[in-house]
Amino acid sequence: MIKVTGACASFGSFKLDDVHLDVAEGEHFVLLGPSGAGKTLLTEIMLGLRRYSRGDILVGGHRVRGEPLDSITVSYVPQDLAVFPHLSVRDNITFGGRVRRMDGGLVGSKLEELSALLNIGSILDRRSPATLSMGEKQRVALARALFVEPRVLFLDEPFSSLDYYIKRQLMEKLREIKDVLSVTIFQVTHDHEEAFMLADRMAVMFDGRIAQVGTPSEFQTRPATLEVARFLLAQNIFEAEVEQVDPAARTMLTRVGDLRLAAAAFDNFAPGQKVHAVIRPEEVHIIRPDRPLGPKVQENLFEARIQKRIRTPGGYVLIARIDGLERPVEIHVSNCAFDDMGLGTTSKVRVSLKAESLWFIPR
Amino acid sequence: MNGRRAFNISFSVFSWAILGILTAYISVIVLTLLLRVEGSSYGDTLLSGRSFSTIRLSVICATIASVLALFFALPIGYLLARKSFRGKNLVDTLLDIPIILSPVAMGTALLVLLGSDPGRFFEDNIVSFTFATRGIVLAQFSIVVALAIRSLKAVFEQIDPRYEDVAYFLGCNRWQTFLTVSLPLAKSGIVASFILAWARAIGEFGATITVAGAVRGKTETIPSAIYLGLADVDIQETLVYVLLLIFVAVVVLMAVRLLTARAVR
Repeated sequence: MIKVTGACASFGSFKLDDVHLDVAEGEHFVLLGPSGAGKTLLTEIMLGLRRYSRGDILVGGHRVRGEPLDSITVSYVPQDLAVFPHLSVRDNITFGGRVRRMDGGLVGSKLEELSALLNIGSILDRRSPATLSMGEKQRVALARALFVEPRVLFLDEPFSSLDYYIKRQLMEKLREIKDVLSVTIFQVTHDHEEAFMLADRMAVMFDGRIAQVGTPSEFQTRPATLEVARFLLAQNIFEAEVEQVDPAARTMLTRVGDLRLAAAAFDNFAPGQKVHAVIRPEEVHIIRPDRPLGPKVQENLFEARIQKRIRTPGGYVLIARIDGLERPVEIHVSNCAFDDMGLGTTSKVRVSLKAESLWFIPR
Repeated sequence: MNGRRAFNISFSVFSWAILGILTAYISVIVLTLLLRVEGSSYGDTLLSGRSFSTIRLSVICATIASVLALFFALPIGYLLARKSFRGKNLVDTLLDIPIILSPVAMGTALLVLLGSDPGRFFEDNIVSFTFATRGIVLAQFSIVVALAIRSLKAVFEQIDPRYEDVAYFLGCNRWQTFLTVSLPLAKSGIVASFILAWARAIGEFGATITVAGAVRGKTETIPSAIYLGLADVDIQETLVYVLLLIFVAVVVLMAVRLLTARAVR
């Protein structure tokens, strides 16, 4: 549905450099990156609102060339929503219908359908959007964008100005909308949670470059670069060296600090190769002393001393030191596991740096 | 610390004092005028047939000139606010000349233009401006259009182009986008610009008198009536016209302030 091939553009000192993206029909694609990465710029280029200097961009098979496409319906919800302040809520939503001279009956039935889908029946009769809450404005902007039945819906940071719980509600709503209306969605965000909860596939962008494209789980388990791993908070990153590789068993042995870690061999690593070893904090497994070891946690077992406990909304972050490692490891545990294991009082635990969760990035 | 406090206080005293002096200065000017005018002069001047035609001519010319100015300034202001193009700075500077230029110089330039061969052909065969009512409109338009462009450019710059982008994606063509989104969003600003242009036009003197002259009962606007009144040493009538212009200025400034406060919302 969207194909970006080697797109380059420069705006002042900022450069978009050789961007490649491919979004399939019906896919919810999320472009994730820190602010200032060029996400909005890239979106505006794909929409035809800005020009690009090299490469090729196709949306629905039509070439975008610095002018918004007329031959295919795309809708755009900008970051500031741009809900028309001079129109009533109803007129905002049906704006596209009126411009396209849709039949009055059709306008009515579409309005009904969308207001039911987005729960906005109660605000339809407001004469001005000025008194709407941010969440309501967001729904109105979405309804207006969906009214024209776009083939692609472009959303720029759609939830960034919402309170957390409203944001969660609307994220679920957006998934429902995508399923019901089967529209292709291209969404820009700087928020990890949003990306991981909504994306079928996603891309991470830094400084005008796409660093990686893949499914959310690929990003979780196999970050392509150190930058991506750090950005996605894979907090445990250590310098390491490959010692032995067993291609038949698809396993290898690595040295991390003074420790030897067994790992699955994903790639063509060779003995002696210098790498970064990465393990996400959720993948560091605390062993319960009273239970037998599960099959996945029999290797890479170490004693760890808990140095710090930091509360999070759903549990705890533990900072623990393992002898032989240059830096402490970060471990995430849920509230119930934390209470169950009495982690509030003990400071010594046994952990497994699960072999199948270790990932390596060449240095 | 105490030294800093003393500086802070003296700074406040200084700025308030300056404000007081200038406000007092302008108030004294207006007050003196009010005291100089005899009660009966208002009626004598404003109810006379001559002043009626003077005021009517002023209002009609200023209105036509400002409507014309707006007709030009709307698309130009929009274009300058939205687009960047080669030579934009040059165009911008060119359009600003009437704002800076002394009106009498502008009037003289207009006279020279109208006196040139093509100008004379235009005057003789199409429409004549010199020493005619139309000359007042032309002079006022030439002065006021730059002001209207400036203020409308600022109005459109304040409107987020995202509104237009969204409207475009919803199916509007460029005309529809301008008419259904940009124009309604700029409404207060447009009205404010019109009022400002109108006020500037009704008070315009230098260019008007150069192009159209100040012929009693023919091309006599309020400012030229003041000029003629001074020449005839008819102080009372002159002062009533001056107060009338001050009154217009106050009403206009308050209206514009209200409108722009609403636009910023």
